[in-house]
Amino acid sequence: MAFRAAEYERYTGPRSKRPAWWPLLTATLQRGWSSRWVRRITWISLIQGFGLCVLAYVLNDVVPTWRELTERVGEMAGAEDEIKLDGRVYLWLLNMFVYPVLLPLALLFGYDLISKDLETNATEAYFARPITPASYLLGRTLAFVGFLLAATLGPMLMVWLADYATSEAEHFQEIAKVPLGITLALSFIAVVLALFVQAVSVLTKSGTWTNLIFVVIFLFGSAMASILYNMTDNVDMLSISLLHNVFVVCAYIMDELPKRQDYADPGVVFTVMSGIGIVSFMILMRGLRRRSMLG
Amino acid sequence: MSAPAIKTVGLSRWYGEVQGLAGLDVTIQHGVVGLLGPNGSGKSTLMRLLTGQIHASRGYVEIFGERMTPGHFKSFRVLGHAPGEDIHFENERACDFLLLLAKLGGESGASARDRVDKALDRIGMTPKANVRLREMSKGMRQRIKVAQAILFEPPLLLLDEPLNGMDPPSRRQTLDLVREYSNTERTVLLASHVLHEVDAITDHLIMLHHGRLLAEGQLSDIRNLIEQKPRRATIRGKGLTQIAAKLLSEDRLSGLTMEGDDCLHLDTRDLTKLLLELQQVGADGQIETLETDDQKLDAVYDMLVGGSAR
Amino acid sequence: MSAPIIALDGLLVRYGKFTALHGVDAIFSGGSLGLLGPNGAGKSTMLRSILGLVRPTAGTAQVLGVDARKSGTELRRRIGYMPERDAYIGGFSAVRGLAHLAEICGFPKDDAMLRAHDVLHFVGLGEERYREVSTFSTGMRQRYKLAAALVHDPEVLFLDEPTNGLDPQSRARMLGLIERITKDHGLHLVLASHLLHDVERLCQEVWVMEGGKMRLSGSISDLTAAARGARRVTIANDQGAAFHAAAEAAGFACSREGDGRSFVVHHEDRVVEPDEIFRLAQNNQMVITSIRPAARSLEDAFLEVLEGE
Repeated sequence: MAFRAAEYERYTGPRSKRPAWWPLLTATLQRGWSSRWVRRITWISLIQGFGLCVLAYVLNDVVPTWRELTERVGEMAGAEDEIKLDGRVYLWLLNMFVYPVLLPLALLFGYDLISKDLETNATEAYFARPITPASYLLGRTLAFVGFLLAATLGPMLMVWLADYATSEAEHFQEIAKVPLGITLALSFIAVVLALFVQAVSVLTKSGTWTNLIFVVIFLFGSAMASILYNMTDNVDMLSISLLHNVFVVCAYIMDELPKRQDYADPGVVFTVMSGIGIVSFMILMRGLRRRSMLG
Repeated sequence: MSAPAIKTVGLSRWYGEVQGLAGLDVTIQHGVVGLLGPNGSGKSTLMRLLTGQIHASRGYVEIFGERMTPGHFKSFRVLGHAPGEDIHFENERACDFLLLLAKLGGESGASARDRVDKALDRIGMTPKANVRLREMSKGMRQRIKVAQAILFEPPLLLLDEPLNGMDPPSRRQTLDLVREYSNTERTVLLASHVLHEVDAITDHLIMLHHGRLLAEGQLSDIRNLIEQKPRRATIRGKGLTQIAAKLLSEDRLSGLTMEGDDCLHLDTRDLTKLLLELQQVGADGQIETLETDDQKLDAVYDMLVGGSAR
Repeated sequence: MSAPIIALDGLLVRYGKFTALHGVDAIFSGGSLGLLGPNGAGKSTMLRSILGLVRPTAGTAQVLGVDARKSGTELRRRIGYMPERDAYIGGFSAVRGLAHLAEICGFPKDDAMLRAHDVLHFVGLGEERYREVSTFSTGMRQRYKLAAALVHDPEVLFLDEPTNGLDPQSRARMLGLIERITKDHGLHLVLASHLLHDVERLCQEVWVMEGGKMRLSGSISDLTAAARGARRVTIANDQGAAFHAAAEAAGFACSREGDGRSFVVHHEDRVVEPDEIFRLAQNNQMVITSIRPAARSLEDAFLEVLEGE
């Protein structure tokens, strides 16, 4: 005989000491994954990566003479540099992955991470519990960074591994420093971008406005950058453009910065990006601290 | 002025396929009338129809003998309305907001200011006149809503949950204001969820349920109409088992519940007779307290609208 | 159970130049406490100090024997807070949101989900578990917030205006739930409410605050017992005036209340016994519909405290 009424019960099970941002991170990842477009973007990136793996295998193993072929084509075309699967190609690949992912992921996923909590007042539910504004922010930001990296760093590393596994030993020297470079570059960009989007959303308190402002900053920034560059002839003006900065950061860290003139000085670019990150972080902490005061 | 303050005839309103209010016939002369009902029972719909914010799907409303329809500005002059929704003039100071409304009402300069000062004084907000609405607590905003409703001292005042969110001093002040207001032959329709406060201020009620009129009139009359329900007396005291045995043997009761040793609930169809009998027992000093709860508004409300799930 | 549930010692909180709490001393040793005060009395600041969210300028707030500021995070595992405004996790179903909040409090994933289901059943939202909270009605939202405050099985429960905006049925239901949790399961309750009837029903103690100061702390029965010895009597319909006259003639002081049918009867030198009143009514062929000790209502007591500047 058993009887169980819908009555309040005390909890006697275990309580773990894991940090409070961990469940927040997993819940945020789930939330992202439940969005159809976020899923599509991630899958498309990964599938592209897989496609390139196959390509690397084909080039390295099936037609290993392709280097001579390309050299010959290069000579015929009058190109000075020989085309090979080195750091520069990886830089090019990196940009191929980063640009289609950054903006959509920010617009589809990052934009309402915090502003939705502000709208439904979830922050009040969170901060009355054992979680501090800093660990709240950590959980949310890590989730966003995680998606960005999964859709960019993931396929890149796949390609690199495929390339490394299928090519001859001496090729490894050319691509040895690539993984560290792309990891550093992408992590830096992802963190800055995550903080930036969330800071905008804390300021506007609305997902829609965040998206609008974010698009405007992205596009308008790029347009303004080239206009100002043309007007003042000061190449550092280009650092207003986030897209430009993303490229310079990647190129600089991978040590493949083209020696053309129309790129801002990496020092300036890093200062601007770090500045954006730090200011965003301060805005976020200030907003969240205020929210943690409840009521 | 013999025309009733409010008269509705077959008043109905649908929102698409959602029924807001159906076939309401009530007439209200003057005094305070409590408007009661669960959420979604049609109170707000009625308020909107009375203030000419929406058209009736069927039937009509007369305010002091004049048909009330949206855009019928003449009738707008005779009523003040404090809606249940929040106000949204966030950046205005309280006094500026009221002044704007006074001017919209046709007053100018000094006389408008005069009205605003008077209204603020009556709700006890004079010290807060310069506070911006967005900086105000919920209770303060509620009071500003009441202030704008009484700005022109209209003969008919419609208040939708005015006490919601107010702290106890403001509650009492607002209820005093309503009581005082209705003493001067004016009409106040007060919608509220807090029954004991309605109970304290008026006996005249309109109860809505599922968009229909459930009951209208004096509380005691409404109670007397509910015949099926036995009435209940609760006594506390000593030696209650004997009392219970005695009453049972005389076949006066339709029900009896013992709660512990010292509390007895007695259900009966003829309350007066039971009370007389209890009086006799009480004279011997056995009864400490006696209560008949069904004269109370919450008991009647419970009977009509349905048990409060405990 | 030696340490008091809440002990405030000279708690002083300043925000810039504004002083929200002027050195409050108070002790709540357990049971149910009503936190009363007009808007802006410092109730929210006190709540923040107790949850360890604000650093006191001076003094300490100890909760469950622990300093709230030093170990606020640990303390918030043991406290359930129900905010006044709606608060829920958007985009999650009701049960998923609650489980998530329990996980934040350190529940393992599976236990959190089980617990979320149980608590929702308890507050009567079992049928609506898988719906999103944004589709809930006012009454359901209030119960959901209560469930959220309970989901991590706290030892102390802070409820801020839990019956605000509820219709009479939902209000009775909410009060019933709170009563069950505190009476049957021994959770300590701190209830901030403007509806003094609710406080009277649920709490044994009150703290009355005004202007950042503790105006009064004590048990409700002491507060409302000022008129001990007097009785409140209600008479059947139109016999009020006659009763008044008869009582005065019999040597009682009799004051009439609001509706003309109820009276407070007292005697200058002694306690008024119910049998005297019953006999009085019998002799004058009147029907008494109620008789009970004339306690002051909490509302009267509260307003008196505020006015007694």
